[in-house]
Amino acid sequence: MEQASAKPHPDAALLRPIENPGRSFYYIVGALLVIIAYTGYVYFRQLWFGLGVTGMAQPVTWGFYIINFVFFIGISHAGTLISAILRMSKAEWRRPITRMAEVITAIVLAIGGLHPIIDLGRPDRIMHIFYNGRLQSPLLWDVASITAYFTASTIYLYIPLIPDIAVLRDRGVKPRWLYEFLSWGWQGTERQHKVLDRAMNILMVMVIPIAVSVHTIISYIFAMTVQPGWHSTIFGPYFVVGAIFSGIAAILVLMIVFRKVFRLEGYLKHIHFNYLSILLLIMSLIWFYFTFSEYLTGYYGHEPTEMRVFWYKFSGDFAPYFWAMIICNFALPVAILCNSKTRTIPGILIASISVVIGMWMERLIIVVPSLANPRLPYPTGIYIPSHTEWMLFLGGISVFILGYMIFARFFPVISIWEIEEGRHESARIVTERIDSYMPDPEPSAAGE
Amino acid sequence: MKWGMVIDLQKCTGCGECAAACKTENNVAIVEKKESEMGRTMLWMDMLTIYEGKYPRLRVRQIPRPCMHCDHPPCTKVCPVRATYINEEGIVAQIYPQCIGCRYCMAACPYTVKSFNWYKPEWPPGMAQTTNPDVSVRPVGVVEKCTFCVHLLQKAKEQAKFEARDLREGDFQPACADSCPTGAIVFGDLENRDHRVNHLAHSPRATKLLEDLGTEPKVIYLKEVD
Amino acid sequence: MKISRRVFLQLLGATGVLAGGGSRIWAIPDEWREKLRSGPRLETWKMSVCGQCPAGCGIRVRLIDDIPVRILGNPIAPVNKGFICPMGEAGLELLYHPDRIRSPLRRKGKKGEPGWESVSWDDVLKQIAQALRETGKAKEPGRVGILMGDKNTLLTQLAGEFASRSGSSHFFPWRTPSVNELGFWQGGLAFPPLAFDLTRTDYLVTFGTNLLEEPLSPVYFNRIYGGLKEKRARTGLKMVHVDARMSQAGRNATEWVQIRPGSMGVFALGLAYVILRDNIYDQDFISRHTQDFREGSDDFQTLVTRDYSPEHVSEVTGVPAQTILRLAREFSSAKAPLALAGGTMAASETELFTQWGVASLNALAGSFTAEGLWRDPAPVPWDPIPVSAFSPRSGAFSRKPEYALGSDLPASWMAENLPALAEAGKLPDLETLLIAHVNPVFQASNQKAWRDWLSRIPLVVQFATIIDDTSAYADLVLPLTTYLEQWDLTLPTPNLPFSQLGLQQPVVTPMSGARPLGDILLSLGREVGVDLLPGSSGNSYEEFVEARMQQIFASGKGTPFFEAVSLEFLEDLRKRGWQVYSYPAFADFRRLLREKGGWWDPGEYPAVDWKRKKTFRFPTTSRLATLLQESPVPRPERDGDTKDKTPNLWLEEGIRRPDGPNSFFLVPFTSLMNMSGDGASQPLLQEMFGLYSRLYWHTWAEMHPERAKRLALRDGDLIRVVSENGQMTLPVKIVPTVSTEILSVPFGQGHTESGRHAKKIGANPVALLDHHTDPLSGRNSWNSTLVRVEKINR
Ligand SMILES: Nc1nc2c(c(=O)[nH]1)N[C@H]1C(S)=C(S)[C@@H](COP(=O)(O)OP(=O)(O)OC[C@H]3O[C@@H](n4cnc5c(=O)[nH]c(N)nc54)[C@H](O)[C@@H]3O)O[C@H]1N2
Ligand code: SF4
Ligand code: SF4
Ligand code: SF4
Ligand code: SF4
Ligand code: SF4
Repeated sequence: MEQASAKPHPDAALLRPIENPGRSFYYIVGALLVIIAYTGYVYFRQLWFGLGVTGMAQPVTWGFYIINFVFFIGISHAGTLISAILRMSKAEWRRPITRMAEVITAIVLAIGGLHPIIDLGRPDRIMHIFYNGRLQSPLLWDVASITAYFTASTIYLYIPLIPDIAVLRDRGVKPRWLYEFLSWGWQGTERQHKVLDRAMNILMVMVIPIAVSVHTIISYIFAMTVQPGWHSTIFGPYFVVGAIFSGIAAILVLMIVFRKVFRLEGYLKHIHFNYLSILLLIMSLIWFYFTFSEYLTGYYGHEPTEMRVFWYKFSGDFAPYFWAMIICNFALPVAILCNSKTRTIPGILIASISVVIGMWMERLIIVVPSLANPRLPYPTGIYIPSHTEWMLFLGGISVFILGYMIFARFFPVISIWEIEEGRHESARIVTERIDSYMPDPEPSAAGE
Repeated sequence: MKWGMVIDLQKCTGCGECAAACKTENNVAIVEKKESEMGRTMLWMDMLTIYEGKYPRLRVRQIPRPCMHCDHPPCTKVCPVRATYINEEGIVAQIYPQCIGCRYCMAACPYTVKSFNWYKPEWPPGMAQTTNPDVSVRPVGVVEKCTFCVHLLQKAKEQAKFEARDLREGDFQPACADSCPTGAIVFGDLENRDHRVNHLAHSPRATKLLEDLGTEPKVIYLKEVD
Repeated sequence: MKISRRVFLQLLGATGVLAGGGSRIWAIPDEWREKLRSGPRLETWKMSVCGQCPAGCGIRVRLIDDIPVRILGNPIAPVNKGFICPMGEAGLELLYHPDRIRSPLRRKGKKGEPGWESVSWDDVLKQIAQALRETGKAKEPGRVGILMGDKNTLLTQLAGEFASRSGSSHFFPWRTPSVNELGFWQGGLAFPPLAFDLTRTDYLVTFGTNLLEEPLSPVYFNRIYGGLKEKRARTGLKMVHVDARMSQAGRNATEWVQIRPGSMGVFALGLAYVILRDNIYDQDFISRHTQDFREGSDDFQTLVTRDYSPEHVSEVTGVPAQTILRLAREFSSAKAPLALAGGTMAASETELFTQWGVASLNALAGSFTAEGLWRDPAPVPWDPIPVSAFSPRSGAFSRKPEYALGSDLPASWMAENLPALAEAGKLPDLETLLIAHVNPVFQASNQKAWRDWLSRIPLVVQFATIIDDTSAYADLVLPLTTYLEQWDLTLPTPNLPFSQLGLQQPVVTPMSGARPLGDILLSLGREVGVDLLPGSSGNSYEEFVEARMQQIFASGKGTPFFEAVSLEFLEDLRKRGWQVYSYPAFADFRRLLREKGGWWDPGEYPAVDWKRKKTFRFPTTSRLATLLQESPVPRPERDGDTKDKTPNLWLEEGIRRPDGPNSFFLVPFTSLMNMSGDGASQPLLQEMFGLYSRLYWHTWAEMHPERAKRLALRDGDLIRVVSENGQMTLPVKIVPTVSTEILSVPFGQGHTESGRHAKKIGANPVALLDHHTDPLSGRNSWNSTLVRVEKINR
């Protein structure tokens, strides 16, 4: 590709994947497209024949699609929510992380949001949600909150992207029309910066409650029924915590991958991983606390229907998943992250992957056992996901990777202008801030 | 008017005719072997078996189980598109053409009574013509369950209107009640003091499944005492 | 390429339509399309009689534009009063079965192999007539046989007539004996056995008898049981079910007594022992109306007091002595005690002995004198119908006006054992065998013997609706109409305390290609010169039915079914010489029968009049010895047989016991959803088959939780069940409703044919049974095979 500008940019490392994507990019995209095309075919079969091609049945009427819906939406909390919290708390080390996190949200939310539609027996009647929608149904709340979250987080991703797009436009990167169009006439004037900041501040404040509401409402889908194992008052915060937990793990995995692939060691330093992994450790403890309270109250209450689900998880068919989840979400990450010797990048990678897997299992363990163990004396249900469901899972992950790669192909995954701003301004801002919370110097001393 | 059903377990022998009659009357598709092994069999009227005690004190309770037509139905509350709702006469109905197949109502029903059309329901060649024309055949992808044979209510109402009179007790008997050889199933208006169900529902033997959930089922069981 | 907006929209639309038209999701269901096309939706109802089992329930078929859409009960049919059973409900699936045979078929390959060619009706009837004529003339008589599943209709009579008139005494009706049949036979009481009015008992003991799930008649008995269950809460009526498995009869009883299979007779005599010892028996009845109670040393009392002490009985049966004492006292102190024996579950190597013992128990406890409990079946007012008998002494089959109680055996008892009889030389080598309404290769427990025997017969002609397991051994298969397409009269149901004739009439035009068996037999008769329809040149079985109806009309007795009126009112009418209906001419009578669905003699049979001729004969050592000597089938030889053993103890010795942690009695059981295996062809019944077990379209093995625990089995695990005759793999169903000694497997699945819905579904437990027979009756045992169970690790 023709080099658009000869002048070496201080953040050339961030521009390299866009200006010079390399061959392996196309190989991977090709491979992903093959998987996605096959997934498309598999989904078409499901459309054609009906949900019979899945492994769902009575009484386990929800399976992978709902599990993955909850899981993906959970992962999506990585981005916008965490980025907003970091931005709001003015954590300076956030600068190379926020964009990566926000992109996760936008892509994963789109994928996760599609899952309930994939799960419909009659996707052709989706419009009924609009003409016959019942606001009393938690599913409708979900539609609303996910739409809001998706809108807010795309805008929230886009706005801080504008100055970087302008950089690309100015460097003449192709396709020019794209950058021209998306940079929205950004010239980097004082006024423009002011507007950008204001917009960011408003969005930041908005996005946090929306994000919290999204996962709370997802938990309501379950909690608003009277089914054993679902009908629980702590489900809202429990789900939000789980979501943030899995989200942080997902960011960490991604950061480590990008660091390696795009050679971003200069941007993503050990300190970033250290901070984030300590956050992960804290979330792991909070998650465990919720899990513990949830099951301990269930156990002491000892309602027969509740206990049927309880034992199904603790020692029944789902025990392998349940204990694997405890190991993945708690034992392993805590063991690795507590110790600064193991809190290395490989250690963090292992812990993060383990949490992502563990949180997926948690979703599995919430959805299936309650359905498999009805209150009345029916036999325990069985659920063996079919090839279609596995493919759609894999396809979802592929779409995510593809989406991310395409984003990274056209836009910088680390905010150039924010890094730059950091270079110029951080020291001053931090000094000012520190000054603002330090005790004022004694007037007398000053007088001396 | 609140339609309700009383099932006298002291009379019921568990013969299963109610389940069979319900299937043929309501065009409930037969689910073939492979699918049935996955748990996709559709029985609007199912049979629960409860083993109590140990031999020689073993007692087996057999409980025919239609939809409870809960007066506070957990299923209708969660439906996003009002494809299931409770009507003025207390019948929890399904609107098949409106159902988007999200199966939320199935997950929410504490009695696990609902079935889903995982595939397009099929009849053996030649059998499709024998389906009951009064009951719509469900398409693929929607949820179905016992409707209290609402089509028969419709017919009974039309007949009564034609004869310019009010609906009488017994005009409307769902297929299961109508076909029960022991007369264990009694159907009628729970609010009408002249109807047998009204009396039976107040019998000291009257009980409801999962009564503590507050769903207020309109299917009432009379306990077996001997 | 430039695509204008409009073209684009058009393309989009077209894609949508394509996808919509093709996809199953968007398409209008075919059923709706069919309905949308359909006509003015005229609703009509037709009365007929269910033919899915021999119980003869009246049905009412709902037709819309002449297409039947549902079968319901005929509300005025006395036997079922408007109700039917799931099998009756499934009738349309048989009528419209996609695998119905559409033309006569001739075998192409060897027996046992598939391969048919279509032939014309004319050719095939000629071929059969030719064969019948040749075997009749050229060779010695008796080389032709007719094996016919007796559905308790007039058709069996026609077939019997056809057989004897064309010179064959080898007419083998195949039918499950009714309740008490074997016991009353030996007790010399009556045949068909006395009917009983279940509503009159205050203490019911059923020895394996499962009135609720077996013919005859499940609908009637479920209805009655419902009433009894309701009543017992008020009256204290007790219902005790003695069986190794808690069938529906056990579930609906007040008490279930677990017992070792085959030992029920010992148990019955154990109860008799207590009753005799405590001197609480009906002495008046015994002295007046019984034989062999106390005569010298070879009598019933000696036999019982010598061999059936509670301790000994407890040891043999596994029932605690306490229970024996309690039940005996309760039973004999009841006002109207009723003990019933018989049915599939009770078919054991001691079946006849058991039933005889149970009949004796009734005699002792005063059951026979309880008011209105036992009824004498009144014959239908038409020419008596000859019966088929078998003489164990001469080994000959015959058709005679009436049974000689106690000497000849009903031929139907022998039907399952024809191959063994042939083997033993009691049946000549048949040249031609006609088979109808029965599937011996599936139903018989000696299936291999059947396959071999049928393979040896040069011409086996099968009449069937669907190719079944037996067809593989037939040379010709002729397609029959179903009961919904033909005429017939169903006969009164044995055991039931009233008389009824149901009129079966075509509900739809018969499927082209198939013919009613009656018509076929009539035309075959004409071909071989036997006129079964005197005074008519036609070959329509409808005329045969009409001739019988005319006899009824001429007798002036009874009336077509009518809407409920009280019996008192009816009595009043009768006294005044009035009838519910008036039918001056036969045409009116006939029209009424068609409209109402049948004829009955209102009210119930009269109570048994013991003063007139009835005497009950108790079992004694010498009678049992004679029976054993005359065993119709070769009696098994046992190691260490000693001549001095009394016959009852010899029988008792044959009762097996499981001999190890893996060893079980294999106990097949029948289901109301399938009965003799025919239900498997109908999808509704395949589903209903699993109503209780939740294993639809399946065969499973029921095992007691304790045994399962010891074998480390979990519900649903696969086990291999191994007998001397083979093995099968089944999922185990762990339930407390079986005794620890048995492995109970539902009968009805495991067809090699019988249509697409039955083929290769499940397994047939009967195929695993050892060929054990009851030496006294010649009937096969279902309860005495030991199997080994092996866990299959998945
Ligand atoms: N009107 C009124 N309102 C009040 C109060 C009041 O005094 N009056 N008090 C306030 C106070 S102080 C409190 S603490 C709150 C309490 O209010 P909530 O937190 O709502 O507590 P409860 O209503 O007691 O129970 C909550 C639910 O938990 C379910 N549950 C029981 N055991 C378990 C279990 O083991 N696992 C799960 N998942 N669920 C279980 C129960 O079925 C119940 O539906 O109410 C507040 N609201
Ligand atoms: S039909 Fe009547 S007796 Fe039979 S199972 Fe149903 S309720 Fe019970
Ligand atoms: S039983 Fe279930 S489906 Fe029926 S009304 Fe109640 S909650 Fe709804
Ligand atoms: S499956 Fe249909 S009826 Fe049930 S909740 Fe969803 S839309 Fe409503
Ligand atoms: S009321 Fe009607 S739909 Fe409901 S179980 Fe009975 S027959 Fe079936
Ligand atoms: S009992 Fe027999 S005759 Fe009566 S409906 Fe059932 S199958 Fe038909």
